[in-house]
Amino acid sequence: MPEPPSEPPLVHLAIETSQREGGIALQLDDGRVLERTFPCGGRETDLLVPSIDALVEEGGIAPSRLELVSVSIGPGSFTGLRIAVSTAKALARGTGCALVPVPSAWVVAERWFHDSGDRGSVLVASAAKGTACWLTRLDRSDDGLVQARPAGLFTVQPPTEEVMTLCDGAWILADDHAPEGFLEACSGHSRGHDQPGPSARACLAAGQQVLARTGPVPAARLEPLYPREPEAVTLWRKRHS
Amino acid sequence: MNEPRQPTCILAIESSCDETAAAVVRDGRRVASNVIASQHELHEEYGGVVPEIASRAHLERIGPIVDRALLEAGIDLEDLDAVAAGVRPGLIGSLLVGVSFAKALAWSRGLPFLGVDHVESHLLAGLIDRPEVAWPAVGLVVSGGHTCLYELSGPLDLRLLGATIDDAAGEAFDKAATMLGLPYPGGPELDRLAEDSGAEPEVELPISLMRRDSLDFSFSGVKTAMLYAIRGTPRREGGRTVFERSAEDLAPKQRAVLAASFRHAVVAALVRKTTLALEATGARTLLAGGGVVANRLLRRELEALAVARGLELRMPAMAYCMDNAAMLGVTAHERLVRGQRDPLETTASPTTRRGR
Repeated sequence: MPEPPSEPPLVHLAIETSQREGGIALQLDDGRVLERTFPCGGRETDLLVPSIDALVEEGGIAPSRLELVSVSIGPGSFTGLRIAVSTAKALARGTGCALVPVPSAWVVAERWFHDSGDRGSVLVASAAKGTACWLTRLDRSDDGLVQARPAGLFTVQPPTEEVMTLCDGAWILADDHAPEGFLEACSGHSRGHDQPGPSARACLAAGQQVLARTGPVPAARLEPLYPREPEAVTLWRKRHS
Repeated sequence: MNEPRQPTCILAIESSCDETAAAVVRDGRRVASNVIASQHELHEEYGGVVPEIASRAHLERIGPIVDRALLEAGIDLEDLDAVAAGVRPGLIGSLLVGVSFAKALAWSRGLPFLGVDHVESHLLAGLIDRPEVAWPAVGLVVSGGHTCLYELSGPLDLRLLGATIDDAAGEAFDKAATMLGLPYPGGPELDRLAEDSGAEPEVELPISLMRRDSLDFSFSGVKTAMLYAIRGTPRREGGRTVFERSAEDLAPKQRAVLAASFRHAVVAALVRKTTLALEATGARTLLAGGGVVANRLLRRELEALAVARGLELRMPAMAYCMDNAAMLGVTAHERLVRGQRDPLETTASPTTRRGR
């Protein structure tokens, strides 16, 4: 019996602006993926919507053809995430497309597994401040990324026992802002460390996985992932405690 | 005689500080909807606007606020001719939310995007639902973030004449109210106390005039004088500044007198500089806008000034004094009918660009 024809892929836009270099990727219904990068969070100009405009034109489609927008939601640059989330909410309102929030750790992990060909585990350390980091452990299975434990803020220097367990057998993906000594302290437990490098294409792939597992979210529920309360509030509490 | 206005339907979005707002404005003068979500409850505890809290709240609220503005106007996106947003000045994190939303919405519907100046739009709030004004005009913007005087030869032809060199008048009112122990946001509370008590401005506070011919403002001196009037002369004690008393020691009548005295001093400075600007420009109209224009003494004094000089005075209705998106829609209309558009690269700016 002949196999039923497979559904064409959704026209899917991914937005990754959690770091200084932003990127967008557009998957068309013929399977082609177009990609663009641009500097993010500049004071003089904002290139996210112009980049989307250029990519959509390159793909030869109208804005109304967008069916899905995946957004890398952080933790990361507040400015970049704010622009991305606000833009995505408006795209949903203007085109009726669905929205998928993708934790930026998933984007980082997806790219790292793709580039390295590794099939193990990673621990993504982000939003470092003082002695704490936002940690997300992700494992690569045949079905894609698996996050067995919730992500969260952990004291990593000195690392707690729980942090050591999270590091166990994983590659640590941490940027230069990771607390000094953290990587050395984990070296006996982890497989090594590497720099995280998100990309819009990885956001596209991670977004498809999130969509398959949890479905889209209403625009009102698309928000950046804030690891902490605003710093001014923390200082206020300290001053008034 | 008023010329017929070119029909337009514009969605405008405001997010420059702590109000998330959206409005639909028809033909540049008729407000079909004007939705404002204030964040006062979020900032009250801190006695002022916390920028990061404001940005987060804008992002949560902007979608529902835009939906409500469209619903209340009885239109959908296909009825719009343009989408506008306040792009400057303001808190950068807050502005970015509105600007990004407006640009993406405009792009997704193939509509023009217009980025407008929030402060200059305060001046045009007085044109809403009213006949055209006679130009040239002097414009006074008085709000929590801005105190400026402009000369206008048309709705978009502005020249900055003067501005505050330190605190904005609204900021000074809020700080004086905090000194008096009034709840946040204090400016309107101070006005209410001064007005409702009927207290006379018996305490002499300095009316800052800078140089006699200057059209700039300064409110830091009157603020300091208010602090000393409330708490007495400060002295150094063990490396700390100690005051003779606290605001809680004041009797209700003293508190009311101080509120009336502060209001009198600030309003007197605003009116004197405005008078100077009117004399210098020969304006036929006085436009006033911004949250402090809701202050009842200022309204009365500006009305008296206009009568005395035979001018037309345009002050916005109370609903358009505070930060709102309808006023942005008026400015956007004026730009749209002149064929102006802004590129999608446009971004937010914390400061205004107009120099003297």
